[in-house]
Amino acid sequence: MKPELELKLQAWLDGELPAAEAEQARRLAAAEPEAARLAAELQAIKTALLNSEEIVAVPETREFYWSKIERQIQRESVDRPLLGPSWTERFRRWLAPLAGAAALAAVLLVALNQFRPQQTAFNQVSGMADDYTPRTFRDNPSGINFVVFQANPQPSAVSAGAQPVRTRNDGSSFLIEKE
Amino acid sequence: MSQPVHPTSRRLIAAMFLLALAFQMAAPAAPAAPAADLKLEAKLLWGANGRPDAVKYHLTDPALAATLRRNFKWTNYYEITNLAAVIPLNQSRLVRLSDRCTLSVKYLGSSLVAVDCLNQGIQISKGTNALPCIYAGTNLDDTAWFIRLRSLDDKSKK
Amino acid sequence: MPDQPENPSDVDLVRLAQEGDMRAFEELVARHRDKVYSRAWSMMRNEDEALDLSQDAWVKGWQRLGQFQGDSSFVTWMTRIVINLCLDELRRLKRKRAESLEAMEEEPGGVEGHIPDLAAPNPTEGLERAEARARINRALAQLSPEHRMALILHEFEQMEYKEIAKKMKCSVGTVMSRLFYARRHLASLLAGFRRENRE
Repeated sequence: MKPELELKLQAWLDGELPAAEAEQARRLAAAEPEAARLAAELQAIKTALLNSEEIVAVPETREFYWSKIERQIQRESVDRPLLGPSWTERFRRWLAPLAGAAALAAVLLVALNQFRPQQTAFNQVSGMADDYTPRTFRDNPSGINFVVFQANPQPSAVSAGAQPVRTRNDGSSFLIEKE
Repeated sequence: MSQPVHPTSRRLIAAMFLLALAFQMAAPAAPAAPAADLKLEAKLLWGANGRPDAVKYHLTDPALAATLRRNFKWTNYYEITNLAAVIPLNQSRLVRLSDRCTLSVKYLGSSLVAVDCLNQGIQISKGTNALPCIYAGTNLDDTAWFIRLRSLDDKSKK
Repeated sequence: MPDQPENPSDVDLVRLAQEGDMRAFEELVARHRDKVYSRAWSMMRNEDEALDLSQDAWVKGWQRLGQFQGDSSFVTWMTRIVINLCLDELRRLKRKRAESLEAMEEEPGGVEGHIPDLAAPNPTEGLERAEARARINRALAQLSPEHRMALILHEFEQMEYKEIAKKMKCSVGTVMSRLFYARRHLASLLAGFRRENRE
């Protein structure tokens, strides 16, 4: 079964689908044995999890647990003196002039965009695994935009003997270097 | 009877007309309406030196291999998976390249896609790219993986 | 000092605490500490971290009491605070591994999926409730942090996909994938426990 259909069945069981799609999913589960089995399994897990959560007691006495909280509250109230108005109130004071500046900037941006050539090379990627950083560059002959996930150097790797990082013409650097 | 236009004024008018015409030609044309659907090709490749015995996949096309060799150190680039998907404007589709690798691709129009890379449901990157684009990373055994995304309507670009 | 009711409601205690009554806040902590700690523990799976984070949550709760409007119950509000702290901590700990990148090509191409075959339905059927809970707890502990988080937020906190996506700072598609994998993995683990039990 296609992954999209599997997720659709799940969304149906979770009540996340609009009526028309929910009906489609229901028919799929009724008509296809594999879909029916998957739906049954997902539903069984949902049922098993219902009211199954264990409440774990705090492994400290009431007094000890509270004493640490109280100390932390007192410590933070000393370290962070009141700054006067809350950040929301400070923000509101700046809101009108900021809003005006933002409106003007938006108008200028729209106007400027009329005269900007259409962007042809665009890469904006963020990595979610902190051991790796995405680096982007464009290979001009082919017109292909590259996103290369490079391992972040480990502390031991920056000592003598570590593989040097070369820099490309566009300023990006990468460890997957051409020999 | 109307007065004849002074030669200087005629020249001025002509110059302004030519200037306006030049400006119009220099200004970018109004962007074409984006295609309703993106016909996306997603290709998973493996980069290695030599030809390990275990590899049962064929080499990728020479033009793509040349592009990869120009930028990376591996000699051979094997095609693992090649998929096509039709993605309507402003909609997402899941593209499953392997049992562990799935992309969530949203077509933004004008050859732009928002791509989430997922490995077994865990997101390893998210971003916006112009097509064609290639994601790449190394493996522990010093081989590499590549994912090329391109529009099938623009096969001139490898 | 005005007489206080013998068993003040949470609403009364919150109001007093908002006026600066630390004893009222202490009572709230005593009433709900297990629930808040439990949520931290279910997400972190580490007693020390859960203790620290639950205590941080109470400190934050005290500092933000003025923001509590009563839209939800106090314990729900506190649970949300500890969830956010746990999510921040998990991100900081960086438990997502790059092995997910290398793993894509450890076995080029024909990778056998880690997703198990469809398991039998009713994984905890016939079990006493306590035993069922213990098995589920054991299975949850074996999920990856991201999968477990998605499952906890959806199944135990009743959050919708969009809300989970916002909390976990990912797309709705990612939430759906994580939930799907988490459920399938859980089903497989529970089926395995059942087989162990029979042997």
